[in-house]
Amino acid sequence: MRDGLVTAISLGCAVLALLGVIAMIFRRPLGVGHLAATALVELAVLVQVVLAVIGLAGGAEVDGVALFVAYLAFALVVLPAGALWAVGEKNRWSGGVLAVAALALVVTLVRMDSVWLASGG
Amino acid sequence: MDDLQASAPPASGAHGVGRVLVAVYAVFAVAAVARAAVQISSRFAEAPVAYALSAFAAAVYVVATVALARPGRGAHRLATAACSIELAGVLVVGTVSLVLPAAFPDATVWSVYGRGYLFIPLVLPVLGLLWLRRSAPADDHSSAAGVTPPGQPSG
Repeated sequence: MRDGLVTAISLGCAVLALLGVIAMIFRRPLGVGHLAATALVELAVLVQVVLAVIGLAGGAEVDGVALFVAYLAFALVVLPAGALWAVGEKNRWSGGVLAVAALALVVTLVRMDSVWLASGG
Repeated sequence: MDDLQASAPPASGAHGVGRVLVAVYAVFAVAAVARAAVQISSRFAEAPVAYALSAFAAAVYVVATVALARPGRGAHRLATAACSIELAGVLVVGTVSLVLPAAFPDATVWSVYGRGYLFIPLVLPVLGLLWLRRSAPADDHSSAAGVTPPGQPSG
């Protein structure tokens, strides 16, 4: 796991969650800006997932490969799925849905980081 | 089936804050299924009771997620049942895991009232049941709400 990238994604998620909650509090639907920010974070997630897969192939050690792969898959889909569910009904609660997805991604990243033992040679 | 009321506010299904609830439930469903699958496939013999319980909890979350997301009276009943089972499960398993820790050598979602998951498993079924009571379809649980929603379709 690239610590810098994980930190960046986590911060991005925090911003997404904050924007979502603000939209919810002020009863605003999500705008293009929200979705662009979500796409940006998702791009970083994609890079992290590719790096992690390359690391695994290169002999990196994880505490449970199946679990780690499950985390990778979840991390990859949670934001797009959350964004789709959020804009499925455009009202103040869309922001809440986006915040839930972003926070779920943060938790997943923390769990991924905790089972990532060491990068391979 | 789905074209019940065009103008009136939707009686049930995932609308409004219910969609946030469904999102949280979906996250827990995926997490619980993944956890149970990993536990059972890799080391079921170590703690069969705990892991069977994990699988049961996962199934309850999946059913609750789908039932909460879908409209209709049947889905509403199913969601109520799932949330009730979930609440009973987290209370019973939470209590047993405190009184008889030996019964659960490994943690489940519901151990110690869901402490490993920020106690969300304890709060979630309560929120789910509150939401279900509020979003009850008309002429179902009418005695509980006692309010007839305005703007019924004239047909």
